Amino acid sequence: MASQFTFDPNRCTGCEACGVACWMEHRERQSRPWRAVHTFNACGHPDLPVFHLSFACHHCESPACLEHCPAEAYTKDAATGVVTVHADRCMGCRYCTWACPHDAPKFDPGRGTIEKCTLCPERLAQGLEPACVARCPMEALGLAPLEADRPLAGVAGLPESATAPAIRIAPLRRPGPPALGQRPPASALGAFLPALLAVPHPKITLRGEWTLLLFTTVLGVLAAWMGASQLGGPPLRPWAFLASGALVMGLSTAHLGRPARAWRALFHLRTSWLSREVAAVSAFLGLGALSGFAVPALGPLAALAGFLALFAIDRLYRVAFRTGPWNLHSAHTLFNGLYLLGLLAGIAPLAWGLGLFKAGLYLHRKRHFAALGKSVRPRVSALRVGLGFLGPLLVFASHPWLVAALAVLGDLVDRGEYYDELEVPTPRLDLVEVMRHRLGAGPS
Amino acid sequence: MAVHTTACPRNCYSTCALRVTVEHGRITAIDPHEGNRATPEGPCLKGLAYLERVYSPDRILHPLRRTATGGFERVSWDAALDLIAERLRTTRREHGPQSVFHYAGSGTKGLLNGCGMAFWRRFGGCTTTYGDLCWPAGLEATRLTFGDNRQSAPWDIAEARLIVLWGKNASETNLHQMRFVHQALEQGATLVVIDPRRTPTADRAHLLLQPRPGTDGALALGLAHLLIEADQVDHAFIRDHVLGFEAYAALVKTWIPARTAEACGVPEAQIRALAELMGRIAPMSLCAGFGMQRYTNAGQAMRAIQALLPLTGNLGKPGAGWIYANLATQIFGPVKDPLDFYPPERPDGVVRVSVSTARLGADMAAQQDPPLKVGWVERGNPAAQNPETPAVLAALRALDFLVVVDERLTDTAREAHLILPSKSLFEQTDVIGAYWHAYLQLRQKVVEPPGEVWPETEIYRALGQRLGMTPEDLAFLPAPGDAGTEAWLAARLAPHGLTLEQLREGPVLAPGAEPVAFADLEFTTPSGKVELLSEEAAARWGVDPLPDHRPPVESGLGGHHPLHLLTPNTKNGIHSQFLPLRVIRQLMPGPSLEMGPEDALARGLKHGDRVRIFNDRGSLVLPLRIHLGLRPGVVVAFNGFGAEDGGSVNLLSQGRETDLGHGAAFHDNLVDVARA
Repeated sequence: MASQFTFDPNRCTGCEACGVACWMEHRERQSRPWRAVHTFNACGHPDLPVFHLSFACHHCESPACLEHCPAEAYTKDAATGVVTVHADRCMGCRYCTWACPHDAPKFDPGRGTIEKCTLCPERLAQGLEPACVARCPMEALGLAPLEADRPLAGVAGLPESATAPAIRIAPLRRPGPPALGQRPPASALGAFLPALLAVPHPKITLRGEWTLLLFTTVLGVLAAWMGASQLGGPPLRPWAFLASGALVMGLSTAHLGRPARAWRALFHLRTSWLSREVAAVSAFLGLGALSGFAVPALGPLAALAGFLALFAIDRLYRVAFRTGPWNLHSAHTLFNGLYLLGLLAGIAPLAWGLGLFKAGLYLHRKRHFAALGKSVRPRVSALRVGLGFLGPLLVFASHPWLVAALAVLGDLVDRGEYYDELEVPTPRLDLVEVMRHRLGAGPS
Repeated sequence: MAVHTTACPRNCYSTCALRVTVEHGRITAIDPHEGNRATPEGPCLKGLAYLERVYSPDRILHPLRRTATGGFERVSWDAALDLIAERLRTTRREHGPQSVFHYAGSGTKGLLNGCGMAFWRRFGGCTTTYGDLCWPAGLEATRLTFGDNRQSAPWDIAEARLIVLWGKNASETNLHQMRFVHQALEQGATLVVIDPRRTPTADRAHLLLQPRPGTDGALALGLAHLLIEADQVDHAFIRDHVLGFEAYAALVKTWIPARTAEACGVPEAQIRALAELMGRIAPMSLCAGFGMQRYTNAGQAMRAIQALLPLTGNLGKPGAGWIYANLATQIFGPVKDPLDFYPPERPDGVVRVSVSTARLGADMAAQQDPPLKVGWVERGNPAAQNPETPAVLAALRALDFLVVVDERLTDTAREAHLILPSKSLFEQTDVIGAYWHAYLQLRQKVVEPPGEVWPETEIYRALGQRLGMTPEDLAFLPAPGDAGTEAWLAARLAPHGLTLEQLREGPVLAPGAEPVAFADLEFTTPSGKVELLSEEAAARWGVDPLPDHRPPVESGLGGHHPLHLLTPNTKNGIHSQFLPLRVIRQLMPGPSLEMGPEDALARGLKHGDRVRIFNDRGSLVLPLRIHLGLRPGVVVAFNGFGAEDGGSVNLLSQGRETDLGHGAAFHDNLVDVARA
């Protein structure tokens, strides 16, 4: 029978015994506790209550980790509902740590694989409760038969998702703060709120993901060039293609925790866009090399595979929050590739169309940020627009190489911003968003 | 695999029963033990963290001697004991036995702890401390008001309809109490928290009052004023069971709401709201914490707070009463706390009880005829945990020779010339009491001590033999080995009709434990009544016989440091224990200073800044955390961190006693803060 965790924030004192209990049970095989306690309004804003949530893996009915894992490292037990990550099948790509909105999968840097809550199968087999439930001194954590109609929408700490987490969180007995006798003046609150509402340790940063920036940029250039070479643009030298292809393959493999298991990436074409991306990239590089060295007729097919790879890459980032007002981004790899294709192949309508479209998206996003009071980074924006849009416009047709280089540089800046702004949903972030919403401070 | 029943012996309210699994001589799991009705769902994270603590690579497993360069080197027990015996003989010959200073802290509960002082008596005497760091002002206030420190069973608070947690953050320091508070709230009870901080406990409450530190007495008097004015008092109870009501009523008449609000920095409306609840809702349980009674005016404040119970007739009934300390398990000594804390009226000439624990450094330095030459510290870390760290360090460093017995290299152990390893709770059987519930529990030996660890009883035996003590001299010790320890404990249990076998099964309520305290309405005060007017208070402590409010000493000095520094306990440690563990550190990376937004804005400080906290006594640098719920004029830094984390909070505190009971007025402590 499938189970769900139950949690009562009225009982939880935030003691974190659950995390230590988890460590006690699994210390031989975990690098850190798989359960974490999150505090809502830890800074004590006078208009909101303070409460704790203790979360591990919710063993979702439709687990995002399983859906998105390219290596088929996840399984879900049909009978018990338990979602398991099999470390021996995991290649350490860490994509599940983005895809899971509940922050359950953790990357173990020592083993290079993912670890997470197992629901203590050995204990359950003995008729015991999971370690965290059994050792919660407050009876705040429990395990119960899965309920079909458990409330999930709008529960703070459960980001909106299609995963159907197997958890029930009791409502707060009193939804507001205690009656307080003091309230800091608005000026004092306002002076510190931005810092207090900042999310510590964002999951995705430009500094952490520079290899992905390089990978997606080089791949976009190669796909566009391959396409352009088929349409009368500058020819793509086979050796240059091979060297660049080897570079991107090297980069993408090196960032895996277990590079030797990279072959597993093709295992989950059925639901994983990462699998599809790997397949498309492999086809592109293979066909591209073949067409360059042996069978030129494969060129168009190679270019098609390249653009399919770019499309697949953009799909991967749909697990993240939208960085702008729409889910279309001016630095999507497909748009970058088509723009460059237009410039390199001298297809003016394509270049003009994509250039204007991307510029429009970029400026609209910045206006959106400005309206939210977020930084628009005027200097970076000027660089991006100057290099990537105005540059090609000024030198159009006279120096096609320079035009292409300027466009690529502009897109590189834009894509750098993209990684910097990218964030995936987590319980911690959700709690901050709920705080912002309830304080009328607008989304981050 | 074997599963044993034992209990956690820390200086903590909860004193949880534990079920410990041992496989191949190693502890592999720690689980709840339902035999303790106060803690049936198991220990907090600290109790679970023993699994790391006992096997920590940082644990001291053999004697260590200070080297010439200031480090420590491993020495054999023979070498260590020979060295100590030689130093003890020399100092006894040259200065007399009272030049040896014995300091025992509250690190571990147990009957066998008493063997330490018995040894030093046999040695010929020593100098030691009186008073206590923790709770004496409240104990003495309770004794003066009610005659004795009795309280209802922990689960009785679930029967209350109004619960006032006054200066107690049970969510972090006694989380098991919150189970029963939760049960009361589920039944519709009202919870009020009084604390300058908006603690996690406060967020379960309906009403939070945040008085200025050290003004709790004024608040209590102001509440009494409103209750009497509204005639919401229990006239029959007062007539039959209260001494001094008229004089007390005259005193509180002057504490009009405006004056109280002004003194406490609490809005008048909130004081009226709480008085209205107290007047309307019964039964009321009034539970006071320890932090609030660590001021120079705190004993009187506690008496003022206690007065609210007889006033409203909330004594001797289920769900009603005073919850502060349960001394039901103190059945093994001649006197209970707090009387145990006072220096003897007539010194016996053997043990000189002349050093106030609160003023440890200054009093140690002041000892003459003989001055202190050799020190012995066990179960304590005074270099970090007693007030005025600089004075304590100076006094420890002035000793010719210092022995410290401990599990790890504490700030105090670092000052030692010789460190002896101490057992963990799992390595020698003992009987422990408690102070929130009334269970006697067997803290069982479940594994052999690791490395070269010896229980203290064996250390004292080996040392005594080297000092020429005969087996008769050492008869106060249990015979060697586990059987000897158990026989020794059994002999102490027998007079109370208890056996080891009973305790081995699980916790046993102490004889005389009360489900509802004072149900007999017998108060063992001189008058047999609840004493709002106490002649003994005036005679013994020189305070007003009525619990009037005076500002605490440091606030009254009009000094130039405007911020009250509070140094409470974190849920992650018991004083300086547990905090260095890795499993704890990943939850709490280190200490910080909490400040409210107004005080930070006035000083141009930002969240995350490194700040210097300072006064005339010392300074400390910590990262700043802004907390929007902290009242202005107050900053908070958890105690328990030491030199490795930048220094103890006691670098800033002053060695001062509380007005009653020889406690330590840690929180009478004003500081200022600037960017470091």
